[in-house]
This record gives sequence, structure tokens and C-alpha cells, in this order.
Amino acid sequence: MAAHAHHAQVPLILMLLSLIRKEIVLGVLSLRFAVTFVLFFVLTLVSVFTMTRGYERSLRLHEVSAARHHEQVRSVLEAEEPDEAMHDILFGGSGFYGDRAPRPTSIFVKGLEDRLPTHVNVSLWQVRPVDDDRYRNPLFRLFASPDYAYIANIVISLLALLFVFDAVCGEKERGTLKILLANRVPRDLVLLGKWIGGYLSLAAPLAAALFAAFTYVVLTGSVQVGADFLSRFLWIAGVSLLYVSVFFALGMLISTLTHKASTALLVSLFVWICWILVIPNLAPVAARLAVAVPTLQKIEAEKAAVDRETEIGVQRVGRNMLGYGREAEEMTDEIERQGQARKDRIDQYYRDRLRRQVDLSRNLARASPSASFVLAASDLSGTGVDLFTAFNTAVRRYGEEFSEHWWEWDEEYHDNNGDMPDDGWLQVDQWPALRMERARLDTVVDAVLFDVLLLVVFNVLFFLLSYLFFLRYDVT
Amino acid sequence: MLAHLIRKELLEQLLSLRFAMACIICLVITLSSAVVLTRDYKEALADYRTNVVMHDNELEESGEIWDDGVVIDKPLSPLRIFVRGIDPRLVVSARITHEQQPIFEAEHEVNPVSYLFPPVDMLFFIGVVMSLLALAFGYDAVSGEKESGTLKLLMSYSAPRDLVLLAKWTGGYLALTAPFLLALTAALVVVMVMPGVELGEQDWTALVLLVAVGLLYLAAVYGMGILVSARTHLTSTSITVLLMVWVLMILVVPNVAPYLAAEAVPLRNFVEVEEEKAASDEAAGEAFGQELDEFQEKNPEIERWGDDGRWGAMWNLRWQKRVLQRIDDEGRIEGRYANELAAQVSLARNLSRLSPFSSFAYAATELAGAGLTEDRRFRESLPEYRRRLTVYVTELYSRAWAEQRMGERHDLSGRPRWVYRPAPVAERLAAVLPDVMLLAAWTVLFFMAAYLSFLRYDIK
Repeated sequence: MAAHAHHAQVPLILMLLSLIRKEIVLGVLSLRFAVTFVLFFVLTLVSVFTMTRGYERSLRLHEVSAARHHEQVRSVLEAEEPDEAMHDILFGGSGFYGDRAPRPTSIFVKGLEDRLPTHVNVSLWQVRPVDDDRYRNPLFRLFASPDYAYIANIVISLLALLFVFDAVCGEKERGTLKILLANRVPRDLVLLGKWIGGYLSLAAPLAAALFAAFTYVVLTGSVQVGADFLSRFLWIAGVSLLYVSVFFALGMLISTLTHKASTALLVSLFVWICWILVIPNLAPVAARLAVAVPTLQKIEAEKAAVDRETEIGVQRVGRNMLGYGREAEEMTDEIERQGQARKDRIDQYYRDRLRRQVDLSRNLARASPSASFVLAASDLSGTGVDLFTAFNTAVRRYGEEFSEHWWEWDEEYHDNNGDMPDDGWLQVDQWPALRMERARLDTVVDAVLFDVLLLVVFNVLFFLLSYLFFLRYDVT
Repeated sequence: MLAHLIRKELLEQLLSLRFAMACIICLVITLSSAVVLTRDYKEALADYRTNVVMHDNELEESGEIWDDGVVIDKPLSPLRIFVRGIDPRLVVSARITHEQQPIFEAEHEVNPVSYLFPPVDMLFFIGVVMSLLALAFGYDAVSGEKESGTLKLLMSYSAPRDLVLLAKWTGGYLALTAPFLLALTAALVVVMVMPGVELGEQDWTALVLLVAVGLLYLAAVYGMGILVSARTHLTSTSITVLLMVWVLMILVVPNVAPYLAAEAVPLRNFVEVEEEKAASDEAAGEAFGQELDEFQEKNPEIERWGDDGRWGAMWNLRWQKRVLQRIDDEGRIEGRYANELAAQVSLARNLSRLSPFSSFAYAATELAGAGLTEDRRFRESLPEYRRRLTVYVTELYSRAWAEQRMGERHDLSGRPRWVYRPAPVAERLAAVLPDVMLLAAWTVLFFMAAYLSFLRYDIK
């Protein structure tokens, strides 16, 4: 009874605080902490340094290229006969160019940035991304970009496991767990203390490294840091801290399931390999097999077949009605419209199938928190799957608008025998341009919440499981 | 005595938890990836075959080759099941026209998720997963026995230290590679059993070499594990150090190297190259116009594009010269840039070779015919084909003009075919020799260093 009274005198929160303090002190003094701290710092800084320089290079490339293409437009406008010059380029030249700027957040999450062409060539008849692969070092493709997302995804998750794998079983091996529990400390408090203390001593160096990285980016001045950039960065940082805590909780669970540190270590490595390295990477191929998408060539061939049929239909109208009169014209229009509609349906079919495949690969990959993290981080930085969609939409729209605009212009040009009355046509800001939409941060956050939620679920699940197992843990 | 020691080491490993785990990991990963990647390959093969037929049919049906040219399809090698290589796409087509440079099928209209998560092929499996397992097998070879006190016991017998270390190395290495080879055999059986995959003699040779290089790489990494183990006295220290080195070696050095090289060897902006090509072509175009004018002056009786076809026949032959010249000019201008790029690539390669993983990656991709050399070989085969196509197209049209058959459909059955042969294995092997030597050097180096450390190891 006396003991109980004594116990009641120590409020739980103080007990928890002293447990946390013990964990932090123990953690900070270990070799592991030193290694983790140094690795976090070195890796994050090396990564941000390389990626910033890389971003600056691609930005320079973009600026020079955009300037040259702007020059081309100016040379048309400043010609003695701008309309004539325009006509020459449209019908004899190699067309115009639209440039895609790299996104500054790619410093932290490169994502799919490198997979897209940097500029597209457009003419009255086609829009075609320029193949700049042959100008690039192919090794960039062989090894993943060492951006922060990669470091966090692979390296930091491994280090988190390494940090915690012996939290419980290691203390048992050393015999300190027995002593600790000989005091009247409830087990849940011990576990919570371990979790909070351990996680803090892991998250603190990570947060410090991230802060240093961000400061570096600001100091170099290669990016204009606005509210959008800052909040995207903070979100990415937040998600990565959440991601790390999943591994922390997982390591804790493994630790409460084992009785020897060496076993816990092996199990951790085993789980990490399967869960981080294998599952997400098998997902896209599995999805490709589950939802087959016809090759682009097949789609093109089908569209070509529709074109041939349309042509035959038009010829038939021409033969039957000698191609004259309003009726014939209307019929021809109708046939062409139908052909176009069929081609649009084929395109739509392709896009739908592809979207289904993409969705399935995302969902399959989400069996691993690594995928949730990568998807969330790349979406937040605007360099994820949406970048592809945005690029494709932009290219398609650019081609359509360009040909619509300049065919109209051409019609007017011919109607006026090359003497254009209206100067508005050649207003540069009226010209169709390659405009890539970037989803607003709040819509992105909405989309990302699912992945964040998954990470939270993994966290809670692992923590609860480790709690359950720890309650029944044999401490002797 | 050595055999005895090896036997002890091997038994110890075989009975351990990590051996069981290695078996499970190897089997699960290789089998699942073999099934998935083989099926993926078969789908791609079917697509490739359809494409070939389709492109042929399209060409012959339309009878049009001037603007649309010929679409070529890069043949698939079954080795891509094992190593995806630089370009993860299996089906690659390019449109070759005589007028323009090859146009590759757009890469941005495919499933982008596969770029976020690279496939688990043999390069990834051996390079990343197996190397981690190798460390798990080696980290406590010496320090672990010291901790458990058996090292003292062992050394109290008259076993020389070099023999003990050699036995540890051999036994552990055998235990490490046994599940790997077992799983690999199982995966190969899976690949062979699934119909539609035919591995030729060359493929088998390349595959065996690939596995051999993988074993060499694992030997190097395992040796590193032993070395660290022989330099530390606590297993917790050795695993911490090893994982740190592993992270740097496998996950950081190869990835940072291309960026460093890009910093050290800056390249011209490729827009300049494009412009240079355009300028050179514009000049050539003007000269061509003048040449035609001169011809007209000298032969006023020939009507431009007249129905008699004399002009058309003449024009096409001159146009042939003009396009061949264009191909040469483009090759020359791009060649200059390619040389600068090659300097950057080679610096990046050499920098990254600080990590044995890079050496292994280069060797594996080259052997599988999915590496830099093959990529270059493929790209370089295209201008040559374009030349042949140019000669064919212009002569075809010239004849058609001369015989006044321009309204008719062209018979394209005599068109030049693009035949591509990947480099033979002997050639590929020569290309990977430096990397293989490097891996061998790492293996020896690590073993020697481990030996030196172990000789002076404090076993108490």
C-alpha cells in the first residue's frame, strides 16, 4: 500500500519525461547516433548540392533555348514583311518551338523531370517533342538521381531501422530491461518513452539536415523562394518525417518480436529489402500485365485505317455527286467529322486504358510505404505522374491551338492576297504557346492525403502491434 | 586442416538464421521477378512482332516512302529479362526518313510509374540485394566470434591465422552463393518452362558470364565485410560501419558521379548543335537552289517539273547528293558534340568506379547488350541505313520520273532492309574486361587487407 502511495506521487507524465530523457541521452551518446547524424548531414547536403547544380544547368539550358526560340519569333516580327516571313516559316521552314522549364522543386524531388523532352517542335501539321536523349549522358538513366526523395526513401528508412532494431531486445540482452521494469513503470509508458525519445533523436538530425539543405538552396539564389516553394518543401519535409517514423515503429515492432539483437537486425534487413526494394518495383510490371495497354503503334495504325476509310468515303461522295453542290459538301463534312470522332474515341480509349494501368500500378505499389512516400513527395513537388499528364495535355493543346490559329491566319492571308489588314495576328502574347499547367498546392495536398493517411495507418498499426507484443514480452 | 575449418564455417552458416533468410529472399525475389519480367518480355516480343508486320504492311499498302520513310523496330534480346539496362523500354521503334534525322517513338506517353520504380532485374538483385546479404554474412565473421568467445578457443589450437581467415572467407562465401545459385537455377527453369523465350548460344554464354561477374562482385563485397569485421571488436560497430559504407558505395557514389562529371566537363548547349545543323543545311539548300538555276540556264530546253520527267529524273539524282551531304554534315556536327559528351561519360564512369557496384553495373549491362556500347551501336547504325534509304528513294523516284510513272503506285519490294545485329559476346566481353579486372582487384585487395588486420587482431 505504501509502495502504491509512493507510486501515485510520481505523475505519469514526469515518469514519461524521464523515460524519454533516458532514451535520448542513450541514443545521442551511441556510435549509431554519430553515424546517423553525419550521414544525414553529408548525404542531404551532397544531394542538395548536386541537385542544385543540376537544376541550374537545366535552367540555363532552358533559358538559352527559350531565348533562341524567342529570337526566331522576333526575327519574323521585325522582318520588313512580317506576314510574308511568317508564311515562309509556316510553309517552308521547320516550324516553331515551345520550351518546358524545369521545376525548382526538382532539386528535392527530381521525379520524372528528366524523362520528358525539354522542348517541342510545332508546325501546321504536327507537334513533336524534340529528342534530346542523344545529347545527354546516358549514365543519368542507369543510376537514380541522388535527390532528397531518394535519400529519404532508401537511405533514411534503412538508417531508421538500424537505429531502433535493438530498442527492446538489445536492452533485454544487456539486462537493463529487467532492471527498468523492476521499478514500478507501466510497460506502455516504457514503450511510449522509447518511441518518443528514439524518434526525437532520429528526427532531430534529419530536421537539422533538411534545414541546412534548405538554407543552402536559399543562399545559392538559384531558386526564387516564394510561399509556394516554401510550403511545398515543408510538406515534403513533413511527409518524409512521417515516413521515417513508419520505419521507427516497424523497427520497434521487430524488436519486441525478437529476443536477440542479431536476430532483430537480420529480420529488419530482410523486411526492408522485401518491402522497400522489391514490392514497389514489381508493381508497375505487374500492373502492365494486369491491364494491357495497346502500343502507340497499334493506336496509330488504327487511326491510319480510319483515315483511309474516311478518304474512301469522301472519294465515293465525289464520284457519286461529282463533288459539287452543298449536299456533297455537307456529306463530305459529315464523313470527315465521323472519322475524326472515331479517331478521338481511339485516342480516348488509349488514354483511359493507360490511366487505369497507371492507377493500378500506383495502388499495387502502395503495399509498400516507400511507394506512398515517393508518390506523395513527387506529387507535392509537381514532378510526379501529374507532370507527365500535364506535359501530354500541354503538347496536345499546343499542337491544336497552333494549327487552328495559323490556319485561320493563313486563310485571312490568302483572302487579302498576302496583305494583312489586322495587325493583331502577330501579337506575340496572342500566339499559342506551350503552357504546362501546374496543379495548385491545395489540390495536390488533397490528392496526397491518401498516401499520408496510409503512412499514418502504418505508423499506428506498427505501434499498436509493438505495444501488444511488448505487454507480453518476456523480459528475463 | 583447411577443409576442416571450411566445413566448420560452412556448417555454422548453414544452421544460422541468416542462411534461412537468404534462401527465402533469393527464392522469392528471383522467382517473382523471373515470372513477371518473363511475361513482360513475352508481351513485348508479341508487340515487337506485330509492329514489324504492321510497319511492313503499312508501307506496302500505302506505297509511300518519300515522306513517311520506313519504321524500323529494334529486335529484342531475351537477355533483357535479366538486365533491363539503360533504356528500360523493351519495344523501340524509330521512323527513318531520308530527309530527317531518325524520330523515336515518344517516351512520354507510356506509364510513368515504371520510371519511379525501376524493375527488379538481376542487376538490381545482385547489385543491391545480394550485396546487402553479403554484408549480413560477413559482418560478424571475426568480431562476432570474438564476442561469443569462440575465437579465443579456436586460436588456442595450432591453426594458423591465415588458414582460419581463408576458411572463414571460403565457407561464408559458399554459404552466401549457394542460395543465390539455387534461386538463379530455379528462375532459369521458370524462364525456360514458359514458352516463347528462346535463349541462343550467345545468350547462354553472356548469361553465364553475367553470373560469373556477379559472383566476383559478391566476393568483393563479402571481402569488404570480412575486412571490417577484422578491424572492429564489436559486431554492432562492424554492422554500423558496413551499412554506412554500403549506403555510400551502392546508393550514393554511382548516382553522384554523373553529376560531378557534368560539373567538371561542361557541355555545349545542344540548342547550339541544332542551330549549327540548321545553318549548315540552310547554306547547303541555297547552294542547291543555285545549282538547279545553273542547270536550268545551261539546259533551257528542260521544263521544270515537266511532264516529260526529264527534270524530275535529274532533280532526284541531284537531291540524292544533297541529302547524303546533309547526313554527312549532321554526322560531323553531332560527332563533335558526341566527342565532348564521350569525355563527360568516361569521366563519370571512372569516378563512379570508386564503387564496385558501378563496375558490376557496367559489366552486367554490357554483357546483356543493354549498356552504353550497345546503345551507341544502335544509334550509329541508323545514319548508315538512312544513307541506303536515301539512295534507294531518290533512284526510285528518278526512274519513275524518267519513265513517266509518277502517278502510279511505287513498288517498294526492293527497299533496303534494316538488319541489326547486336555485338557478339566476344566483343562485349572485351568491353567489360577492365571492370572485371577492377572487381578482381577489389576482391584481392579486401582479402589482403583483412588478412593483415587479422594477423594483428587482438582475440581476447
